[in-house]
Amino acid sequence: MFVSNKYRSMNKLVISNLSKTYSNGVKALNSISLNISEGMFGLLGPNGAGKSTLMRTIATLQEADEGSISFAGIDVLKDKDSVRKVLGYLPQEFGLYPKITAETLLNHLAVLKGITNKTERSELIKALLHKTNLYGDRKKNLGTYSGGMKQRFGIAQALLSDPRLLIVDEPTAGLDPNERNRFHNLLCELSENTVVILSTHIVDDVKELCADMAIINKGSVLLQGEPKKLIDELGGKIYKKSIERNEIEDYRANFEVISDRLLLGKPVIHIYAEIPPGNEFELVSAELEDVYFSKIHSS
Amino acid sequence: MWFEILKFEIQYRAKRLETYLFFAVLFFFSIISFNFIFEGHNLGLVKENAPVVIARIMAITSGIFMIITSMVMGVPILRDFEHGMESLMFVNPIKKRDYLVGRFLGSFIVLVFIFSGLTFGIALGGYMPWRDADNLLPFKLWSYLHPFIYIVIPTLFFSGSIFFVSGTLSRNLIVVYTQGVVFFVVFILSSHIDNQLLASLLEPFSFRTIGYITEAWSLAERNSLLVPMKGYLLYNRVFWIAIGVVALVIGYIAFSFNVLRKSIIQKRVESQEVGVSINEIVIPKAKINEDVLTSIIQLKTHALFYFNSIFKEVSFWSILICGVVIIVINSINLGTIFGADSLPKTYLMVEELIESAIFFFLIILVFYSGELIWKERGIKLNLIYDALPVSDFINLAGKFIGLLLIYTVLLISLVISGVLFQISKGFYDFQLSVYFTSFFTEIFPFLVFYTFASFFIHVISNSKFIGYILVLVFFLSTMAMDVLAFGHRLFRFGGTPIGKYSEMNGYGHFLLPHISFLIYWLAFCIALFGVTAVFSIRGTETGIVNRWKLSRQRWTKPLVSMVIASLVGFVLMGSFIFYNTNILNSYWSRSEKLEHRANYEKTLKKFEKNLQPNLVDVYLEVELYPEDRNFTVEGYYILTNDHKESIKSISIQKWGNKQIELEYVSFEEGTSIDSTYADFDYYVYDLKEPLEKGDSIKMDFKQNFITNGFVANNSDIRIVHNGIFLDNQQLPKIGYNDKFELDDVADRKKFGLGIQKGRSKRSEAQNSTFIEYGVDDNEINLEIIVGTASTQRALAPGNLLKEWKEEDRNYFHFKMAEPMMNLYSINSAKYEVIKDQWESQSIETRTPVELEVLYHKGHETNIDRMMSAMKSSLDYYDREFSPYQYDQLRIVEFPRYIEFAQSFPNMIPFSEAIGFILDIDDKEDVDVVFFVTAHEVAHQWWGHQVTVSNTQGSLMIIESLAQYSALMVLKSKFSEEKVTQFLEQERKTYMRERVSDQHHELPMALVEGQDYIYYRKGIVNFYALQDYITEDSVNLALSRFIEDWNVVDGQLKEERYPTTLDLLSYFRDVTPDSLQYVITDLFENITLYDLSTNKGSVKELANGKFSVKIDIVANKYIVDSLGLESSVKINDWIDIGVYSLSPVGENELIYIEKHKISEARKEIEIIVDRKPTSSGIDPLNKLMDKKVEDNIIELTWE
Repeated sequence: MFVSNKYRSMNKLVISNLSKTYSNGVKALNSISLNISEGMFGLLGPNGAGKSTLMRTIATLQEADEGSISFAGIDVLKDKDSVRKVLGYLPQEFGLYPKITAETLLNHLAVLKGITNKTERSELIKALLHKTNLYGDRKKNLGTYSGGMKQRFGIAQALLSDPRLLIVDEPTAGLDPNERNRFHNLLCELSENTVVILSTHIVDDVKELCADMAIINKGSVLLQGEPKKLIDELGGKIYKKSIERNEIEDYRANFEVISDRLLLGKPVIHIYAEIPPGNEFELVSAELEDVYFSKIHSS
Repeated sequence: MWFEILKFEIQYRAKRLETYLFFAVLFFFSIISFNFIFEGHNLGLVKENAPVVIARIMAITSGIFMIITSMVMGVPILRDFEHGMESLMFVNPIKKRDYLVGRFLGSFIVLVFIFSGLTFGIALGGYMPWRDADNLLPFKLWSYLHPFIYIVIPTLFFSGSIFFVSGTLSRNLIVVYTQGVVFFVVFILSSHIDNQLLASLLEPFSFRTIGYITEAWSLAERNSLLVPMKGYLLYNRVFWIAIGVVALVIGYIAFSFNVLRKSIIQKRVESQEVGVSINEIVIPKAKINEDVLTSIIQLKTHALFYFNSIFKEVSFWSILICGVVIIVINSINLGTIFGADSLPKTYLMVEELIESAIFFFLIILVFYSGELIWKERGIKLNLIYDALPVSDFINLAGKFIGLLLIYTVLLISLVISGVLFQISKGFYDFQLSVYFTSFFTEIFPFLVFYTFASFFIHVISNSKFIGYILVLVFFLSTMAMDVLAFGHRLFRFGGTPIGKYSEMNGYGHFLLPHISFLIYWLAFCIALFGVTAVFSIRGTETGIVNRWKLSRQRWTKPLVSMVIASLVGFVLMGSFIFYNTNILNSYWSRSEKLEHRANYEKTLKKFEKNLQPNLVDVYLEVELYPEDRNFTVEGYYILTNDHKESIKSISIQKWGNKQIELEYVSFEEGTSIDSTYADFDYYVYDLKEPLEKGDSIKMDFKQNFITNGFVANNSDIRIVHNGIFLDNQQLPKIGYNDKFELDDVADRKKFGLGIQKGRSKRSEAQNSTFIEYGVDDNEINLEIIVGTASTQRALAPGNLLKEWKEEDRNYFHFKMAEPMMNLYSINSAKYEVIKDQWESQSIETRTPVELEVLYHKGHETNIDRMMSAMKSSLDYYDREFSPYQYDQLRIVEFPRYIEFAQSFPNMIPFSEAIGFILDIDDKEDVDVVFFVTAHEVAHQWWGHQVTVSNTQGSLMIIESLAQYSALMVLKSKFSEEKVTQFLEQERKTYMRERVSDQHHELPMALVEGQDYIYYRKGIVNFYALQDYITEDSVNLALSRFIEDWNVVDGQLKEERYPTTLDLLSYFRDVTPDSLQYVITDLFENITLYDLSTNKGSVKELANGKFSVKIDIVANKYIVDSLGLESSVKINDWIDIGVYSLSPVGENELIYIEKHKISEARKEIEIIVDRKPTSSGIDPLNKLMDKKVEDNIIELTWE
């Protein structure tokens, strides 16, 4: 036990210069380098930014053209088997056998993860089912599960082997707010001595959970850091204004508009400015969202 | 709108690779389809591209490739669901009608395009180099288009409709595929229906329906007419189109745009309330194991998981149930001979079960191997699965073993159903070891190997459909290689079949090569499996280039060791096999063999007419070593010059078997040997002193048969561990042996040999005997001493002079008291013997004849029938023809590798397959054992008393008279119905086989090698002859014929052997003038009739009698030497019959008389005493009527 704990403290994922170009010419990863330590790591980016490609590559399911990944001394791209032993992975999209029950499939997957002791296995499965609030539905065929239930099942299976590296790709999609909360709590609990990578395009998820994060877009890392620090860097430089709909283009031309959204049917824009822009703009305290949009916008 | 959808569908398909792939498959298959479908079937003189042949090829090919139809038509709606498009599609403002009609028609048009490959392929096939222009008609487009439109398109329509609907409603592809299986089941089932109308109607592809409607066509019609859309064929097409329409209507009504489907049966499991707070739960730590045991557990879990997933599929069960239905129906005809079934012996059950079940095993193999490979990806669980810490090998092996478990369950259920069937027949000798050995060393390995192959193909091709198609192509091509015996077996995937199981000889010497090949291919497959595992798709890298790059890191140490070890095993085993087949034994490919035979004829034919001395004495000391499958023959021939000129050299031809060596041949007077033709084992011995007319010379020789290891093909089936059946063909022969000549017309043509010369004309009858059994010598004196293993008993013709044991071997000394034909066999096995005696009724002074049946222990069932047949036959022939010439008559059993009985002088070797295991139901069946025995006994007269000259018609004297004789014995012992039943089968066989003869049909009196004439037609026509001129007259003629022409008393009527010219003159002598025409019609011409009854009425007369009036139609045809039929005027005596109901309610013939029919249409009036029910012409089918179903008509009351 002591040895294993000591070993665990070395968990660290290092990604350097990772590149991947698909056969259709799309450059999904462009020399990505990241250092990820234990705890929750948020990977933020719009759809198509390359998040899933990166996640799959870390999860041993995809090859990179260049670069390397290492986790706790394991060369992820070469020694896939070793990675798989410590990995928990929840893909963005997945299906389940419709005609078998949650319990059966979880049991099957547990054996394949190497949990061969029957008693231990059933205890573990029971706990996970409770934890994901599926215990009551464990005897139902997976075909009858709703989207949220399926997602929770996916989480349960990812946690089966007490992973040291947990990769969750857009995990909260399809969950209701309650379920999302519960899931976040669960991740927090786990992240103590695990590397958890959470990919999402929902800024709030990262804000609530992650001590560290990166923003990627078009296959490149735009920014890596602690959310709080990143927000602090923008302190006093974000202004907002409520405008008319037809004015957006004018503002875009004159200011560095980082986001616009509707409030009561009228657009509210956020701009980035080193000096106060005046013009009825009102200083706001920066949010993570502003960090995100400012980076995406400028890239 | 529907048109837009149709356009979309076509455009979508036009971009899909599989559309073209399907087309290509059909196109290329069609090129070889003629050879594939008609290989081994004789079309006779019908041209290979006759319209009817094309129609049948198209019919069956559109059935065989039903899987393509299902792949095309099953998916158009299903696709939207699989891609999760349904919600998007169905919210659009599309009408259900437009959506369904558009998709259906679009797909159907694509389907018709794909199948048009048939037309092009079949047409092009005619121009392939292996086809012979002589067998082809000039190209006519309409011959191809007509069946495509009338046969193929309707098939595509109904099957396509059903697949479309089932795919749409079930949304499950496997359900769609299963339907294809159902069609095949219907196809097979329909062949078991006796009612022709029903059978024609229900056959989905109309392959046999075309056969039915063209059955009575003459050669000229077959070669010119298109298959007409009328009668049965029209009903068939309309029926199936109607089914397609019904399916579409049902599908249309049942289809609903609602995305959520109401399931018919839904197990409702309610959510349970769980009173546990989530935060309190601590996830326990479970130990994660990585040891070998874990891998084993994972493999087991995997395998069971996949096994269960298939086992629970509805489609699996429907395939299974279809299979069971087929098997139940098929098994009823176990080893049927002349309508009598064999006992349900286990090996027969196994053969039958494998034959019926193999198709279903293949379906399961093809479908589920693909399904399993694609299982995770199919439902998008693959990313989760692929990231599990399970090795590639275990992932794939789990699927593989899961499928093997399925096969195992099926095989065990086959065993159980076999046993149940045996029990139902009251047969309790189950021989479970035979079930298991045959299933698990033959069919199971076959499935294992092809599953390996299928996995490999699916993994490499990485497209489910393309994978399926490639697997099918692989199957068909390996099967074709097997059928064509293409190349050495070392290069033919899957190895050898285990060979027949015989109760006498078990699996014999076939087991060792079989097992060797199994190990060889298993090693290959395991290596292949290693490659498959390394290339299996894991993650999202699916391109073959990326997988190749990736493969380097996936070769784990254990995997590399496994592959290397199996490759080493593969090479070692291959070397072992090669050592056996090519070094210990000599290996000849099929074409080498053919070429050798062709060269034999080209080189040596010129010596055929060289004068050679005749064999007069044979003395042999034979040592048989059954345990080693060796024998030696040492002895001498005494040869006499019967010719006018002197003979300067003697040629000796060794038998072709490579295992035979001629140790020495020496002539007492001294010779010099000319070995110019040693390549053909043909040696010329130049005599120092010429052999003058009437002089004799002694030839000493020794011949050995040595078994070393095993051979690649055609392992010897006569020299076996138990049941040796050696005959004198295998001993040195004097002179050229025309048996070695190529006989297949196409083969001969390939090697530039002309058509084999038929038998000589009857007018050229020489003093040479019947050559059919390789006999062309005079009568010989025979003495044989034969030694065999201590457990066995050996047999040869003649009296057993002495029997002794020496050096733990059994010896038997046989000597013929009388001269006999140069035709004898030597048999050895562990025999049981039953003895009896027969005493002649006609010559009271002669000593009783010893009768024996030597049989394998356990084969007692029909011994009594054989004994009784021997006695009845001897009684009849001895009384009616002439006295029996020998002192003994023995029936000797031999293993079932060869299926016949053959009559040697006083000895009848009888196959295990035909006499000993038949289960004759005296109510239902003709006693075939009795008949075959009687036939063989008759050869002691026809063949051994009367020897014929080697001319046309010789086989009518030998075989047709044996048929007649046996039939008369049968008639004297059994009821008239049995005789009629038997004749009916023979008549049908004749009518069927005469149209598939490669050569032109000859009249009976000129028959050459065509067994449908001398056996089938022979028995029917001789029955008619005795019906016209009486049995007594026929027998009188035959006894006179024997008197004049027998070889027993040493006095032939003339210095030659008889021909049918002689035989017919004896018949003519006993036939009244008015019936002389019958002999001409039956024997000298090929005569056919078309007899029918059109109308029939009855009225009661004042005197209480009944007047029956029928309108009959009687046409008579004569077929000329080119196969052309011409009508001739009828002026014949033909039976008219009237039936009445007997008191027990059976149809009874109350009136049968011959009427002179001299007009093609005639009204006939008959007065009968009893109330008639039906009436008609030739009710017992004594004449060769083209169609017998219309002879009898129900009478109507006036």
